Amino acid sequence: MDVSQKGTILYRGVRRMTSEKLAEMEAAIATPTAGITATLVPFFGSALAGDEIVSTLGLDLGRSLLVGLDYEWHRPVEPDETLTIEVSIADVYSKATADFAVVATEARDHDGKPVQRQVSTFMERKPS
Amino acid sequence: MTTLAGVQLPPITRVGIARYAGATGDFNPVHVDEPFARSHGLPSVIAHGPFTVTLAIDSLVAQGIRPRRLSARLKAPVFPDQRLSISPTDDGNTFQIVAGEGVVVATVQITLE
Repeated sequence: MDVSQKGTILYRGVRRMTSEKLAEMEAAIATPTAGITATLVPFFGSALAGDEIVSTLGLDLGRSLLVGLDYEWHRPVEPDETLTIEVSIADVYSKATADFAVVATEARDHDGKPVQRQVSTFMERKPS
Repeated sequence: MTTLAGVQLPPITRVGIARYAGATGDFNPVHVDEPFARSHGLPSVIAHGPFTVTLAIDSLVAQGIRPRRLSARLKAPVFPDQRLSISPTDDGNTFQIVAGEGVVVATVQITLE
């Protein structure tokens, strides 16, 4: 893992949370309350920049795992609203047997107000 | 405030994993490519960690609980067709996601405001 990448912005873009996209998440959850839950977790921020995470950090997917996931909600996503989403490397650090990358995703509405924040922690085992 | 109850989650199926991959665009081969997963020491593909957490969040929603914050530490992979359950701890704001015969796959802390 390239531990020098702290602060790198991996993705910044505008995404419309279409009813169709929310329905896809609802279908994956497939419970009576899935429609509500889909508005809380309509996307996985790190997946929006998945290729960039791998290439920027030099991750070996065979030695990497997601080990932490944090959410902070200001409100649910509204169907068909447009969000500005930024994914960045919040921290990178190394321990004896593994390296860790903390990837933060910030989603804001058209007024710039925060909607939700996701933080993913990836661990890459060092080669033995 | 609604007290968090221990509940069973719906089983994570291969179809569900595929749908989650499509919904998120996360096609990491460990989730969708059986030979890749097996070549890296796994018995099969595994569920996305966020999918497991999403199902746990859904169980909170079903109980009328809307957390302001949630922090999950993923401890073990979840395999297709494993039955998962929520096992609350005594403080009311922490629970474990447990698979099958008692394997803790995640510990979760929630904050309500």
